[in-house]
Amino acid sequence: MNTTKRILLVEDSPLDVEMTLSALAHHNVSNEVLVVNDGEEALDYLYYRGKFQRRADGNPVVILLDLKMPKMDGLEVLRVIKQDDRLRTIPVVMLTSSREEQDLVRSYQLGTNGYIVKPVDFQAFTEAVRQLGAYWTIHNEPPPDGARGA
Amino acid sequence: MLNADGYWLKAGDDAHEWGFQIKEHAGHRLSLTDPALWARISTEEQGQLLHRGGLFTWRRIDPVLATGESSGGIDATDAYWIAASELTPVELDGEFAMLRGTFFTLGCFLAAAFAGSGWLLRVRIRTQGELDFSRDMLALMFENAPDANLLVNQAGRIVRANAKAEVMFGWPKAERLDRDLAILLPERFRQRHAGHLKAYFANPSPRAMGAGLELSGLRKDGSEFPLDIMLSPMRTTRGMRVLAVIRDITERKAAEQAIQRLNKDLVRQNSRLAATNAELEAFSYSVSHDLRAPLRHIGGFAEILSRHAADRLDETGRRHLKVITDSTVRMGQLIDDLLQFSRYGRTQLSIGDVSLDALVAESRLRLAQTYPHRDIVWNISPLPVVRGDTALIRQVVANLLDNAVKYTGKQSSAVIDILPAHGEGDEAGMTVHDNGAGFDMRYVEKLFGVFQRLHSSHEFEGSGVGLANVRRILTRHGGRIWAEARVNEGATFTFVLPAEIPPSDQSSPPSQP
Repeated sequence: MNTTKRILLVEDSPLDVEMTLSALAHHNVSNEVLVVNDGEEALDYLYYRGKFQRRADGNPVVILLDLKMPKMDGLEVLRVIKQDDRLRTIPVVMLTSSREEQDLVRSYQLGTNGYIVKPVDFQAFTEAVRQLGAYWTIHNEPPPDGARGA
Repeated sequence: MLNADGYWLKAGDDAHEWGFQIKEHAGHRLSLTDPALWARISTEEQGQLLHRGGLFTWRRIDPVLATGESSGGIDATDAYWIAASELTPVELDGEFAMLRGTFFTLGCFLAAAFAGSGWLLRVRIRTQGELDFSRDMLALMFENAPDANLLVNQAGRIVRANAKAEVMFGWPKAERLDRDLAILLPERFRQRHAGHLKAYFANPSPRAMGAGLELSGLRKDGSEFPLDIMLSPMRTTRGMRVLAVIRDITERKAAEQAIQRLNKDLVRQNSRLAATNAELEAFSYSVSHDLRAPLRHIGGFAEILSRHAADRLDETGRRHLKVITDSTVRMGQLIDDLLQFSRYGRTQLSIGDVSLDALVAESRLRLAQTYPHRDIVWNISPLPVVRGDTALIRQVVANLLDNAVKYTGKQSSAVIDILPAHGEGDEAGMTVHDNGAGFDMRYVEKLFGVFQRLHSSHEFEGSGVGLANVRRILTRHGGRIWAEARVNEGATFTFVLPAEIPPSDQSSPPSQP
């Protein structure tokens, strides 16, 4: 498994996870996708904590971050990532079901690299994720890894 | 020339003369108008007095001697007359001329009497007239002022009160307000007031009394009322006085309280509106997120199913799956439209000049790209510049032009006319006329309702929110829209906006959906 091009998908809805994985598979995105179900788990992964204490070194090439999650939501995770020198170079794309302007504005204020409204139109949705995946994992070199946390 | 009672027999101004017989002149009596001078003149046979900048000289004279005849119409009880004068060096001849006729002899007498002094005569009467005039005017102003006027001495006694004071404090004329000022104060203020009065006379200056305090007056019947008091010190021959000008502010207080009450109501209503708005905001946010998620799953899994199991389904099964997918797309669109509609009611308007010409040109460009194969004749007249939120008015224009293009889709030759429009007063806007499908005027009221359509969606696409949005936007601007049409003979939509948007409409939500 190519762990250097791992995608981290932070999504609490199993159905959305399944759809996203299906879309990626359908469009032949070969990257490993690691799925975590909430914001805390996402930070555990990024900081090698909890069940990710012994995971392999390296940051994901891209984080797909659902905006609305129980407990710690996507915006909070985004803030932590963008305030940490070792993590802020990881591209983060917010996934959300809303077109609410307040979400979009706050995401960009916190430094997101992209914003995708999870389209009800499945074709548009898979296309968006495919392009995103392709953009960050296929055509571009990922940013250099930050130093591993102490 | 004065008689023994201080009335003028001859004065510089006719209006001062003969006060003992002519009622209107009764006030012109030296004993009243200048008591200090009169006190000297009336008690001494003759003399001189430096008074008010002039040297007054007087002498009692015998009426018979002075006129050389019997006293005629003059009060026979007059024991003597007084010739009073102020001597100046140059006017002897003039004054002689004035004192002609029956007073000629008097003039000779006076000239002879004072020749040795080296002073010449000038009768004081003219200046005295001016003083009287000022005095009368002040008395009139004091008496007839719309405010209550009280003159109070250092002991706190009312020495003079005008009619308004008597009315204001409920003291009838019979019981003149000639008493201690304290009776006009509520009991609880009296002690403190005595101290204030003393302090005022120690440091007298014109000022408002108790600035910033709520002052109250006490009527004779025991009721109280709010008042304002302006104090002015007056130096008089009998010592210091204070003139208190008092205004009953009951009505003003009531008006202030009414305004405060209204303000409180407004604040309450505003916070209620703000709470409603916040609820609406939360509601639409929730709709936007939570309603969309299951819809996305329905559409998404129908799509996955059609991809993986399409070969195991027959034609009917595949059609059913397509219906599911298409319906989710349509419902997604409806949710978007509804949220947009809700947002138009809540977003703050940013008002500026809006060129309808420019907005029409923009929309036409967009429509030309959307419908490259449509052949439409556009007749566009110059349009006005209106006041409004450009982004929102752009939606209005775009929607009306979209409709015109959409509903002429089945005409062999589509013609769309765009004209300037004028409403009542300074309202201005535009009219869009097409030769398309039109509609039945019986249903015109439904035209602007949310999700109301006059055509089926397989006939003409649409969610039925467009015109509802248009009307909501215009209503928020204080504008109006109306429509006229006939089935298959086209439709005409006209909207107008006021020249100035009322500020209250710029941030508040509309009263109706």
